[in-house]
Amino acid sequence: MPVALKAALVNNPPAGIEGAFIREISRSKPAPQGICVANSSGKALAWVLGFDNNAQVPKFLNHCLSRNKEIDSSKATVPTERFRLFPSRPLPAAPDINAKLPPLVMHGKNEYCVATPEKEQGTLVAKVWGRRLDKDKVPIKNCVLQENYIEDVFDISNLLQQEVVVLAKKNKSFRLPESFVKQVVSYAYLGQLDVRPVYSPVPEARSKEHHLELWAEPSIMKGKGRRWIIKGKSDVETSRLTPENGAQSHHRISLNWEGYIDLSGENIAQLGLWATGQEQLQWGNRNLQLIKEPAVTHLMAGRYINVDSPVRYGIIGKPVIKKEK
Amino acid sequence: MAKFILFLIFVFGLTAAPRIDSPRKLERQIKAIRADDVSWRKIAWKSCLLEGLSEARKTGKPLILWCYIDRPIDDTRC
Repeated sequence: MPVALKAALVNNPPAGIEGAFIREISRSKPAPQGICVANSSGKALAWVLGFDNNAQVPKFLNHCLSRNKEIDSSKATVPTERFRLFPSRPLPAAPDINAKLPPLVMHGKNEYCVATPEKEQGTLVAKVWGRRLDKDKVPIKNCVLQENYIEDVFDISNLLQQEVVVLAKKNKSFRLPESFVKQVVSYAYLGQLDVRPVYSPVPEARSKEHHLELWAEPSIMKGKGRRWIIKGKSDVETSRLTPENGAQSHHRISLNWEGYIDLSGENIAQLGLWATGQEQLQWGNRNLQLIKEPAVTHLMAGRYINVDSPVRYGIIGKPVIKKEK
Repeated sequence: MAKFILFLIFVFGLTAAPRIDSPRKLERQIKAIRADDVSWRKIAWKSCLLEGLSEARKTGKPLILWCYIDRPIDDTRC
């Protein structure tokens, strides 16, 4: 049963029933991120940070299935096995402290899970697709890797939308507010979160916005609202060097944008954007290139990435009308 | 001369890339890059631990938890 949990929740469990289960699982973690197998009582059977090779991944899962069958989950004490690498580098097991866990009660009809909190009515939920192209401008086939293909979701708040609405009231062409443009552009990138070029989550990263400009031109009326045609350009760059371990990254994305925004009243009724351009991404410790280990051996450190390709991004945004998890 | 200029404008209009100015046109572009059968989407990830525990109790299977994004921001990207 696969469950994805953000480390922020695991490392700082909230109050409540869900928080109690998260706290029990988090207690035995060997690192802030990782893979854990837990039984149906919410006890962690094993944590793993990496694997000796690809073949060990299914072996780890089978090992956990066997352990799950051996332990009567409702009664037994369950020490948590922990591995830096499975199976060659075990860590000391974490003992079971026999914490009393609450009865399992599901979220009520009007309750929101801590992992997916309620969104303010009118919030624009935008989905983005991005894909690298090869030298012949054909979409790259391998879509498993994040440096080749992404799907992502982000919100555009009522506040950002209203900045656009205010400017549109003059009924003539206007430049979209910088905060709005940054919010959109910050999600049009390939690769993992660490290489996000705008609003970088990495404190040591140095970001530069060479160009961030989207313009809206009035178009046709749509019922009581209006469609605005969008055109513009973005060129953003971020880089980082970590001297102590040699990890470095460089990421530059230059995109030409076009699309539309439909305004209705005080909100955006729908948003559609298409971007074409070029993306350069280098990430990782150059020493990783020299070591011929499989990627599963260093999941936390990642693997070396080096791409420079044409890219395409599409964004569709629609408002949250009802409560949406 | 005027006719020639009008002819050039006509030809340019025919050959210029279509504007992406409607949902229908945008959807067509996105369809060309969207990967409909990408393997990681075939895993039915849950985001709610309580739902996962409930399913685990019904099926007798353990949970596998992917604990990700060790950054102090709210994002869905790994």
